[in-house]
Parts: sequence; structure tokens; C-alpha cells
Amino acid sequence: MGYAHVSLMLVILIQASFYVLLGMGYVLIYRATRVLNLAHGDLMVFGAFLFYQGLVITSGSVPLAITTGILGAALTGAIVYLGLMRPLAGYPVAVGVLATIALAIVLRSVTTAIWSGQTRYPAEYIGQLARPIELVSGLSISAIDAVIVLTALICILGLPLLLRRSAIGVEMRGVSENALLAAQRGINIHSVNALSWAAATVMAAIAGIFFSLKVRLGPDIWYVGLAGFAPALIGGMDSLRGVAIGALIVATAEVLAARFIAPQIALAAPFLVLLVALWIRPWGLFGSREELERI
Amino acid sequence: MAITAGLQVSPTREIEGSAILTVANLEVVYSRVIVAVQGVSLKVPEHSIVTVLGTNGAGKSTTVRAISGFLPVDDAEIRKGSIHFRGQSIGGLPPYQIARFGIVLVPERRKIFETLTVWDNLRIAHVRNDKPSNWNQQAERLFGVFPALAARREQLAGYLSGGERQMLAIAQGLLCDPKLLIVDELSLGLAPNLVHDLMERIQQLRHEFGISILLIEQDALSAIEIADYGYIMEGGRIVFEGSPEKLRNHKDVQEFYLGSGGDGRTSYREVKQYRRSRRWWG
Amino acid sequence: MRYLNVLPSTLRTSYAREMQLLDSGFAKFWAALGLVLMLGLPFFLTNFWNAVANQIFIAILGALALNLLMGTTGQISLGHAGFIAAGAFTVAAFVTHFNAPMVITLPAALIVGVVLGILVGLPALRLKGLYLAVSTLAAHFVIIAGLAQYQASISYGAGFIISPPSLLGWELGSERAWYYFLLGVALIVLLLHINWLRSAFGRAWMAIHHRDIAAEALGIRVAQYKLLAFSASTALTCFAGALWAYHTGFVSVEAFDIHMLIQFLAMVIIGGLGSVLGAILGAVFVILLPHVITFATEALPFVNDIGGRAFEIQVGLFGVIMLLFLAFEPRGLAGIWARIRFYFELWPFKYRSWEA
Repeated sequence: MGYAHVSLMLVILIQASFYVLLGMGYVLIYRATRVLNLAHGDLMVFGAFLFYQGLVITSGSVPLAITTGILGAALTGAIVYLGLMRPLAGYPVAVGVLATIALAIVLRSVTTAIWSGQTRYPAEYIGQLARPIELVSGLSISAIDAVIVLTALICILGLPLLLRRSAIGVEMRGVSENALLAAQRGINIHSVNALSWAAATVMAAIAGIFFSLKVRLGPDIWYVGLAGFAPALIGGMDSLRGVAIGALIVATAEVLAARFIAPQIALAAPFLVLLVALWIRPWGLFGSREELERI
Repeated sequence: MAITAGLQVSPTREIEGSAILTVANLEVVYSRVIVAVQGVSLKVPEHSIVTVLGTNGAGKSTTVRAISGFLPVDDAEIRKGSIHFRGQSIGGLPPYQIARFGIVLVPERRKIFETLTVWDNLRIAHVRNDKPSNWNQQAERLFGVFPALAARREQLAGYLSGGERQMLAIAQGLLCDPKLLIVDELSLGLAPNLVHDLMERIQQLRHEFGISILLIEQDALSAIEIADYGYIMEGGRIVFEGSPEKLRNHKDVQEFYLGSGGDGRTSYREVKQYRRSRRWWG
Repeated sequence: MRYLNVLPSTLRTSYAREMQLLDSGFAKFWAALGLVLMLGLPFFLTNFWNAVANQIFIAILGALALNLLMGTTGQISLGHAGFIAAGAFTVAAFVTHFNAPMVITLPAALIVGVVLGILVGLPALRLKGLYLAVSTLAAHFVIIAGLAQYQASISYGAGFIISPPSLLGWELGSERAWYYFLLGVALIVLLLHINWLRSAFGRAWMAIHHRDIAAEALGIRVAQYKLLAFSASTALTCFAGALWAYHTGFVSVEAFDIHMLIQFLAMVIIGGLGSVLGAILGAVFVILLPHVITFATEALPFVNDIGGRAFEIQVGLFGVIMLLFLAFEPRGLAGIWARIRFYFELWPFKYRSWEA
């Protein structure tokens, strides 16, 4: 294995980490409210713009900007659930999906109306992002990439543990299985679900912040966020661990297509992989048909 | 509360004392047109077991949903009447608030979280402002009452048997610190000896936890055995009520709910005709 | 409680009347008057509004196709912008490579549609609800990416110019000629569509919509009918796409982005899922809305600064209106229309339970 192979694998790993962050957001929302959130990409953009706004206002203070982005995203997620998804509970699945599409275009036009369609580079505000960190001799990774991979790792390891062990995690799982019973046991299902939406939106925002620092920021990057549903579905919508595998598969296909075929095809690669995967195993690699033993 | 303390409250066989739950003249309407329950009044006194009997479609479940706050889910509403719990009106409140007042429902179906372990099923039912130590003590006590659950602590609840599910559901309900426990169809799908056993544990729990219990049942025979008072519902109304003795001695109750008595009628059609023509209180 | 919703005017006393499309003198009168009005309309419209009317006709075809799948058969499809693109590119390819006339390209678009429908429909035999929606959305992106690749290789990304076609010697050069052509096409498709829905096919699709397992138990071959619904829908969509290509005169992959998909979804949702009338009303509404917004921004001087953001506002408004309809009137414009009719037909009686 030559240097080129290893660096290609690093690129795949970074892309996969990015998909992990996005895919887990889809899974969190799906588990909580049985909705495939097609507005996830636009929530990601919105969160990233909040971060950017934070950077502009504080003239480059990263902690403050990240706090702005995360708090704003959490608030947005909770508002979306309480204001939109809660009233639509009990409607057929199609209605939920269509509602998120409608939400997506509303969010997109709001974002464009506030920040215009111009492309920006928040990385300009922060130095040293591209500073290479040497892993082994001859192989290095930029600081921002290292942070992306680390964050994804923390999420893969931490989130399932949180859902399995913590009191709020048990409540989330209970609500997602049987909301009526959870309500009867004194759990305020709406605040639990709002929390799930907030958490998922925060993850989307984090992914958006990373993307805007690494590549660029503009209303058109919603496409990147939308592609995140491919790893989520390949892994199985009700499995957080499945997302990691799905992300690896999608990232591999995408990076290889971009390197060896054509960039146009690479854009569609996640969806092509998804179509093939759904044809082979309609309920995902790790999703359970009976939905017994969720996480 | 220790067992002895509970025993001091001797089961009163007549309805008396302060009622913990009062339903007065309740009328519930589905989809704004279909009247499911009309003029239902019932009382649950403190530390008593009250049972509501009736066949399918009698309005039992609607009454339970009205009390526990689940009517809006099915597009139903309380049109008339009131529901008071310890002097406070609870009609129309959302379910989780009613649960926090101390009314806990063990539903008919889907009564446990199948994808959680037995222990998590109990953990999910905690009272917000309760001390953890208190909760642990309660849980251990429940494992004492239901040893079968203690053995399956770390198993997924989806793999429990029907009887164990019922026990888990009741245990879960009790951990919510209820003043009133409503059990919907305890007997559903269970073997008769198991039902008998569960009924006895219910009686034991009433003393140990000092709670009132409202049993919604089709299996009149076993429910009357442990109840202090009973109501019979038919067609959305309460048609008869009284002490267990009174119920047991009523000819029609014997005929239709206890499966005893009867004077030689054999054909089901005859029974149906009779039911349609006879009047209660007659 | 569906039976409570039957309009008094839809109750009939004989099978012969049940089979008639226009069953009363009243209905015949209005249909005839409508037709006369439609025939005379181009003489009162400017060239611009004539073109808008033509866009509406094409949109109606697309909306009917989507409604057949989503409203009648209950299979969510998020791939219809991709199918429109497939139809348009069929025309572009045939014109570019073979200089083929319209009598060849339109049937070719239909065939492409049937094949695509089977390809996309096959997974639908195994997938339901959410997963189906997602697989059709994935299909949309894959189709668009493939076409973009094709466009880049043939015309260096510039798109295809399609000159005005002629049909059996009749040159479709002006918007007015297009109007009469499209009016005829739309009427034929509408008639076929309505009759299909009234046939055994339509009833089978509706049964699948309500509960596919029960439909299967009743002897309906669910797999076959699902595939049929998919291929009929995509064939009609590709057909609409082909007409779109000819009418617009220019085909480029950028036109078929997610906004076109949203427009079609908006048509069937705002119009009312499962209703033919709804699909038509929805198409009219969605095509006219941008013009109404433009008109409003020009008429109101104090909102002049909106000018540059008209597109965002228009798109956002689509979203808001879709959300409002989803939340408050899932039966869409057709539901509102039925309610109005219901009110007048029952008048002077006020009350009758309306689906709660």
C-alpha cells in the first residue's frame, strides 16, 4: 500500500465522518417522530449561517460563534418540532415527508433572504485551520479534518451509550416505541421529542460548520446535507451504529467516483449506492424488520 | 407504608368515606357526532377496589380514556359532565399532567416498552420530584411482589410472557407513585388461574401501597371477587351498580356476566332478544 | 365516515346514469359553456398570457400523472422532475441525433416513460411509504446526474435548442396554435384519465391505496397494478416533459432541479391528493402564483425593494401555502370546492356532519 492509497483512505475517512454527523441526525429524528426529515440539509445550512453570523459579530471569536450556531440550531429544531411536526402527528407518513420538503424550501428562502445567495468562506476568519498535523512520517492531516474525524468518533461511541444508559436516553427510546404509554407514565413526550429534534439539528449545524470551514458556505450546500439520508437509510433508519457503516460505504463510493469517473457522477453516487442497497436489503443493513431491539 | 399499616384500612364493603375519583354525568362524543358514553357517574373511594364490568363496546374504554386524558387522540371530547380527582377537576387535561396528579393507567394493549429491558421499563417510570433512594426502595419492593420480574431484569421486555408483561405493566404503573391505579382488562388473553393469581396480588398491592384501584373488566367472576363495589355498563350507560353481594345475587348479572344461574334458556338468539326487552332496575 | 360525504348530486338511480360522465342537463350545459369559453379564450389573451395558459396545460398533464400515483394509488413519488427531464431529453436526443419529427418523438417519450416506470416501480414492490419516497428521490438525482453527463458530452453543457415542431403539416409556431393543440391533448388525456379511474384499474389502485394487504386478499394482483400505476404515471409524465421541451424550445438539465419537483408536489397537495379536479386546480394555482406575486409587487409601490428577492419570496410562499394546506385542508382546493358545493346543495339546511 503506497502513500497514495493511504491518503485516499484518509479522504474517504474524512468524508465518512461528515456523513456520520449528518446521518445520525436523520436517525435521531426518525426514531423520535417517524419522519424522514428532508429539511435536514437546509437546517444544516441555517445552523452554519448562524455560526457565520456569530463570527462576523464577534469578529472572529470561534467559541462564541460555535455557541451561537449550536444554541440557534437547538432552538430552531425545537421550534420546528413544536410548531410544525407536532400538529402533523398522526397523519400518514407521506404528509410528514411532504411537510419537511415544504419546510426545506421555506428555510432556504429565509436563509437566502437574510444572507443572500453569495458564497462565503468563514475559514478566512480563523487562521491555522489548514495547519497540518503529522500522523506518521510523511502522512499528515489538516487540523480541521482531524477535528471532523474526532467529532464523528465521539458521536459514534457516545450517542448510542447516551441513549442506552442515561435517563433521558431511555425516555427517548420509550417515547419512540410507544408514545401513548410514555405519556401515561408521566413523560412529557413533546419535550422529549423536541429535544430529539434539537439534538439532530445541532448535529446538522455542526456538520454545516465543518463544511463551511473546510469548503465553503452558501445556501446551495443544502444538497450536501440532503445526501446524508443515504448513509442513514443504508444503515437502517433505526440504527445509530448502522449509520457509521452506511457512511463508510457512501463515502467510499463517492470519493472513488470523483477520483476515477467524473465529478457529476460523484454527486449522485450516494443516491446510486442507496438505490442498490435498498434493492438488496429494503430495511437497511442494520435496521431490524420487526424493529425489535432498537439500539 | 408497611403491610400492617395498610391492613388497618379494612376493606369497606359499602361505598362510603371520601371519594378519590368522582365522575359525574359524563358524556363523551366521538367525531362530534357519535355518542359513546352518556350520563355515566361513578365514584372510587379511597383505598378501595372498584370494578366496571361490561361487554365489548359498552363504553368502558371510552370512560377510561376520558379519565386518563386520551380522548383527543381519537378525536373525541367530553361534552357534558365532570371528572374530579381529589377535589380537582381533571377533565380535558393532557395525559402526562393527569399522570402527575396520581392517576395511572395500565392500558389494555401495548402496555410495556417492548424494546427496552425490564429494568429500563421500570426506570422510565419515575416521578420527577422523588428522591432516587425512595425510588430504588419501591422498585425492590415490587421485585418482592413479582419475583418473576427480578429474574428477568436485564432481558428485553418484548420477550416476556403474557402474565409477566401484565406484572411488568402493573409494576411500572406503581412506580409512578399513583393514588389511583386504573387497570384496563387485566384478564385479557391470560389463563384463568393466572388471572386469579394476579387479582390476589392486586389486592395485596392495594394494602401495601395504600392506593385505590379501578378495574375495568370483562371477566366479572374474578373481578367481583376482590372488588368492594361494582358498576355494570351497557350501551354507554351505567345500568346497575352495587356491592359484590348485590351484584352476585342479581339474576341478570348471574345470567350474563357470571355465567351461572339461568333457567333453562339455551338458544343465544333467545338471550339476545331477552336482553333487548328487559329493563334494568325493573 | 366516508359515506357521510357523498354529495346529494352524486347519488344516482340507475347504472346507465352512473356510467354517464355528464349526467344532468345542468352539467352538460356547464360543460358546453366551459368548452366554448376555453375555445374563445386565446382571442382575449396577450401572447404572454397565452404562453402562461400553455404552461398550465402542460402542468396539468404532469399533475394528473403525479396524482395518479400519489393520490389514487398511494405510492409516494419524489422523482417526477426527473421523469419530466427524461421526457424532455428523449425529444432532445431524437431531434439532435435523428432530426426526428414529433410523431416519432412523442411515442418514444411514452415508451421511455413506461420503461422508467417499471425500473422505478420494481423496488416499489418491496418498499413502502418512506423507503419508496426516498428511493424515488434518489432516482431523481441519479437521472439528473446521468442527463447532465449526457448533456456535457453532447453539447458541451450548453443545452439543446429545439425548433418549433409541426404535426401532420400543422406548424406549431405561435402560442395560439400551441393553445389549441394543448387544449385538445389535455382534454383527451383528461377523458382517458377519468375513465381509467372509473374502471377496474382505478378501483384496484384505490384499493391498494387504502390497504394493499386487504386488496391482495380480495384477489387484486397488487404487484401488477403497482407496476401499472408507476408506468402509466411516468409515461404520462415523460409525455408532458416531451411537450414541455417542444413548447419551451430549449432543453437543459438545470431546469429540472428540485424546484420543479416541489412545484409538482405543490400542485397535487394544494389541489388535493386523489382528486382529478384538484390536480387541475393545483396546476392552475401553482403556475399563476408567481405571476400574481410579480403583479402584486409591481402594483404595491412600497414593496418595491422586494424586487431582487422575488424568487425567494415566491418559493418561500409555495412552502408556506403547502404547509398550511397540509395542516388545515389536507383535501386541498378540491376539498374547499366540494365544501362550497356541499353547502349550496344542502341549502337551506345547514347541518350535515362533514368528515371530522
